[in-house]
Amino acid sequence: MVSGQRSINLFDTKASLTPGWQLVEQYLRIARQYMLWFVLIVGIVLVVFYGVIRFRFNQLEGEQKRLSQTIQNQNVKEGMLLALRARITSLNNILNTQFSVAPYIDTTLLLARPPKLTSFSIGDKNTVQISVNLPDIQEAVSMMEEIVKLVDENKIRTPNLTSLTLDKNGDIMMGLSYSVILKQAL
Amino acid sequence: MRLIRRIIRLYQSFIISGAIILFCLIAFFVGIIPGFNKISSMVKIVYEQTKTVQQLEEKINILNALDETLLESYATAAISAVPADKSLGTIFSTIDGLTSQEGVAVSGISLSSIGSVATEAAKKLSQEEQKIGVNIVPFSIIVAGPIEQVRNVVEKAVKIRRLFRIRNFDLSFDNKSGTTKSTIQMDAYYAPNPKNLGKISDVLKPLSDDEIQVINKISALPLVTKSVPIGTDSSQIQTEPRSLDPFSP
Repeated sequence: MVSGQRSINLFDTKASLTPGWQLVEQYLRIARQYMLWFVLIVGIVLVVFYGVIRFRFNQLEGEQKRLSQTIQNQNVKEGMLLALRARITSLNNILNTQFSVAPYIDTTLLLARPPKLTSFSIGDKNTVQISVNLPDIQEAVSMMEEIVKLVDENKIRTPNLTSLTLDKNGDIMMGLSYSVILKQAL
Repeated sequence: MRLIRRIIRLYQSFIISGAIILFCLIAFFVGIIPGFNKISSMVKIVYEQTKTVQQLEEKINILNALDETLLESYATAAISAVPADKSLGTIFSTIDGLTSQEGVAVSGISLSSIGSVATEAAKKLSQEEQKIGVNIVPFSIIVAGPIEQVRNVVEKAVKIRRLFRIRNFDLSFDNKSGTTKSTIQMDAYYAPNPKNLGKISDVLKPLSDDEIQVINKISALPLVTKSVPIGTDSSQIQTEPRSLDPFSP
């Protein structure tokens, strides 16, 4: 029975509530209604959403297992590719540090050959040190001209006459050093 | 008792409302908030899983597109250039092949600080080895012959399939015989194969054009190795389990 309506019940339950409390009661009733609906709707939405997500999760898990198994079956190819890639990186690094040292000999042979060429050694910073034994001054001059030509052709750099000896027979012993321009081998 | 009954009767509506509101609050804090957190974490997991599945599908496509025979030929070429272990046999054999091809005599080969004949797993790499990413086996050879042929050895030593580097060399001349003797200090390389394949979900990319170019360059180099077949054993692939050396027999 709603309070305020006529009733055959002689014992009115709300009779003693003050109007202030009746207002509070009304608000509480509205609040509980909203809260109940909120909890119910959000709960249903969450349950539905959870169900969908769970279904998708299981689906993806199964798919992942299947794909992983397929990849596992191709282990050989994958291993080969990874090992090959690692090796190619190393090969590339090696190729980048691979220089042909033949120009050391090539440039020397352009200046003198054995037996005139008596010693040959390689020093720091691509430097070649040679000593040559020449029978006369004319050959020494022509060798100097050849050195200038090689410098002009950018085959050697910074040539230095390190020693020059003329013995009583007229033989000339010359010590020379120069830098060689090296190029990558491959 | 009557008093309690009266209070209950009087505040019945408050009690019901209070109970419902309390229930809603408990449901909110105990059910909805944890449920929301659980769902949001599951959404993240599903998102990650979706990405993983996509990666796996891409990986399978890449693996399916790989030509195993071609890969094997690449691997054989790569292994013959830089073996997985020191492979001293191939060093000697290559030097033998190179010098006999050029017609010079080898009067000595010496290997310095060779260490274990097999690959040392925990060997500390030098700075240079770390820079290049491979292990170095230093050795030297003494060759004798006409100077042009010695020159050819020096030239071709860095242009053959078993990759060598010339660190230094010298020449000495014997005017009586007209031969040139040279001590050539060289480096050979080896690089152990990777020991594991990584995770299944790791991204896999096919060989790039640059990588194929490098391997083609290596394949084009002449193989002067005599008698010892390089890399045929070591190019066999280990399949089980994933963590083992894929090239070891």
